[in-house]
Amino acid sequence: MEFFIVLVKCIVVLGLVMGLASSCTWFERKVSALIQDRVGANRAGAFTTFDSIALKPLQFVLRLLGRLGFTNTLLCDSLKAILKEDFIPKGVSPFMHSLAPFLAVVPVFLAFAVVPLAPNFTLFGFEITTQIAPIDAGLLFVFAMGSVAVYGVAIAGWTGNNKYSLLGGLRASAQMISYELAMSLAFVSMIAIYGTLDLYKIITLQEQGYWGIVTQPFAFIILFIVGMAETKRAPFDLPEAESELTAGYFTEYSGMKFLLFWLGEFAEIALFSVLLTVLFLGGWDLPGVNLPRDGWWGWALVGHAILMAKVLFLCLLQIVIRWSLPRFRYDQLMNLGWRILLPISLLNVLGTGVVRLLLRGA
Amino acid sequence: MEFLFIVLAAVTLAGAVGVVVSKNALNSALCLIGTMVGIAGFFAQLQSNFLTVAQISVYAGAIMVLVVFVIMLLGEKVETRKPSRALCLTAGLGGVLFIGMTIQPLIVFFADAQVPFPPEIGVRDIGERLFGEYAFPFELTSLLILAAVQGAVMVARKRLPGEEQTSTEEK
Repeated sequence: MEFFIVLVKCIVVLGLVMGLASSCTWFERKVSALIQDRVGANRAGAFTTFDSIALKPLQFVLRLLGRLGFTNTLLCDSLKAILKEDFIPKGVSPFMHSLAPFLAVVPVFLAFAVVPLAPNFTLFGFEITTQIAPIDAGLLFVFAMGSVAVYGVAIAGWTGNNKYSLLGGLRASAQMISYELAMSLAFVSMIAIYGTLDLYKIITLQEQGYWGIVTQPFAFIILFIVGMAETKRAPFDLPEAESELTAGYFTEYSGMKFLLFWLGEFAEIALFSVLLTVLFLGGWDLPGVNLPRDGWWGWALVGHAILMAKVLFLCLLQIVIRWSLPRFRYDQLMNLGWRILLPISLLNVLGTGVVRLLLRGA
Repeated sequence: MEFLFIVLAAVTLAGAVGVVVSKNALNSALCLIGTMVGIAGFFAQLQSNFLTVAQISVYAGAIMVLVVFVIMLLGEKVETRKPSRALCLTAGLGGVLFIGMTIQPLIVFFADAQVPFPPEIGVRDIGERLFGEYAFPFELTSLLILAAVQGAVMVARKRLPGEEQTSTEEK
């Protein structure tokens, strides 16, 4: 029975992550269009016509979805990607070429296994935790998955069998591992405040105390910047720069593999938004509201909705920043990672330790 | 439970064999990553969650990234020579003997033993031990790593004009 519960949780979380990643693609298209003073995709599916009167409401709904761009982004793009020719460059091991998108996507999806998405509730006598894996070292697991995600990029760059891909892949991996340092130190200062690595307990502590963004504002800023750098979003998207590297490490990918890279990128945006929400914005906690703790599934749903609102806000923020700022040059990027963010996060850890010792000694 | 162990053991051993057998250096590295992840799976099965994530993030996520970078940047060597038959037989025999020598006493010792399931060790306990009673070996390990880095730099550094080259460098 336990296995069945875990299986259902896996399916639900997988659907949620896919839904989040797809919404991010739609957000990207619409928000980029609105920022650039145009309308965006609004033609596909906007002219569906059913003749019979009984299907008129369905026609209305489909036309609305088309006008908003959902049909184009979610249906047509995926269909196009699936039906495209999938080629493998000559002289390259086909196994490695096909392996790289999976190595880029699977760790990101796995990292969602330790993230709590709603308060615990009881259903038919079973205590259900919304973390699929309530392990003691939850936050470290996310970090470990971030380390493994470097392989997808590096191998994708290598199997392109051309200099542009290789350069893009090496740049992207170097960028990712450089920003992991500042990320881990910012995590360390968070862990020093909360005293635990379990993400559910961190939310519980924030409900009882102050939100993370109040106790660790610098760590929030650092992690936000690092999140944008890890997902290689602008202004850190030099590895994908179209004008310089002809799409960088995924030059030689087409069709569904290319879309897998994009899906992994958007899933990583969703992952960082959820992580920032859980660590800094209190998860499902609102400042004045105390959700009752009687374990009814309705309160879990309410908590989940609050969490998702915050997560969507952070995703939107990342997308708006992407379309507002110009790109960093590569040396500026590495400078920011090593010589600015790393000392700041070290000082943050130092300051956190000092403040905690003073508060405890007082 | 045993099925999971068999699957993990198969993955780990396949990776280990692949490291030795494959002719392509990058394939070897990927197989080694598979072995590391398999070992992390063993740790997870033994309820050591911290060791699982530490294994993945340190071995599979940092050390092997370094190895993969080195292979990519310094050129992939594809081994084309086949070893001689005498060498193959000797290596195989030596391997079998070694494994037999190490496993046989263990089988004899544990034949009737009931191995209890280890308790779940929290991160807090590991931290308290590591920085409490084992703080001195912990700091010594960092000194050891520093010595290793220094050794690597000394071996691989660019020679100044006028200094002699080491014997392993090609002209």
